[in-house]
Amino acid sequence: MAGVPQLQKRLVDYTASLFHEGVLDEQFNQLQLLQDDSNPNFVVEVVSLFFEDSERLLNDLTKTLNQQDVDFNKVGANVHQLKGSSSSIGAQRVQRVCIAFRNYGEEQNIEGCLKSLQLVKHEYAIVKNKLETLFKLEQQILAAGGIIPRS
Amino acid sequence: MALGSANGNRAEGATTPLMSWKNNLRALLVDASSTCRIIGKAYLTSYGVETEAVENGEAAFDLIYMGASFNVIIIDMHMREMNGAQCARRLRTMGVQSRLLGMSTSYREHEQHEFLAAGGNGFIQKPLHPSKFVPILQELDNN
Repeated sequence: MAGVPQLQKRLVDYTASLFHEGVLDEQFNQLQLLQDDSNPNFVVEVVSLFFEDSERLLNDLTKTLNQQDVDFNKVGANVHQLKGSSSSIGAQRVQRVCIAFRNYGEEQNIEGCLKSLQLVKHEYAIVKNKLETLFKLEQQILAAGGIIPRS
Repeated sequence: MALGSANGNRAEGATTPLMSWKNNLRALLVDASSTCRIIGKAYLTSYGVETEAVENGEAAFDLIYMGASFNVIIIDMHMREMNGAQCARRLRTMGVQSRLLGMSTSYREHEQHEFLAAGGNGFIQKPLHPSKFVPILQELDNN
């Protein structure tokens, strides 16, 4: 069982790798500033909300794009929401894929939209997995009686 | 940095705001994304602004009809039922005099023109960040 210093180092290194890979950007760090004693689980709560929102939006987009008559207004509105929420939590690669998605939607290009949808789902799965791992590491540190290192 | 008495309406157990203002600043966020509403509200509240957040234009109109007033209303430019310009136009028609800011991750020029023509005052880029909203709050507080 790793001691607290090793767990802390693991967390710091893991977090750094997420920034290095562009999965997260500075906005994610900014969220930490909103977490304090009166709001101790703010980041986890907001990220959980982001997961819920995103899954709903992705399901909606899948349904909409598989209709006979695609409602591109609905596609546009959902993509905008996904772009906005991913930017707000710092999910940089998800946000980036939404840019092309938005353009395809405006051009009413179904092929492009379907391709973008696949890419977004892929990037979303990555950021979800990585953030869940990050939160698990934090929990391990707390369970071992340590504090979470903040940059 | 604006000095003066701290915001009077603070919830029990809340921490001291990062900035204090001469006036009691009130903001309304209109955004379809619950993630963005929570984050935006947390940011503005931490900076001493009494903030409400609603998910669409109709909910904003309801609040105004019930007598609520705000120094600034930040409107998501791309909501499903109505866009930022439509929302701004309706607010002005209702007699709202608040600063109206359109919010988005990115803008097309025609969207910006439309928003300003509808009575909007300006824009603030998403994601919300103190570097973007603090100057606006300072300006509002000094008027």
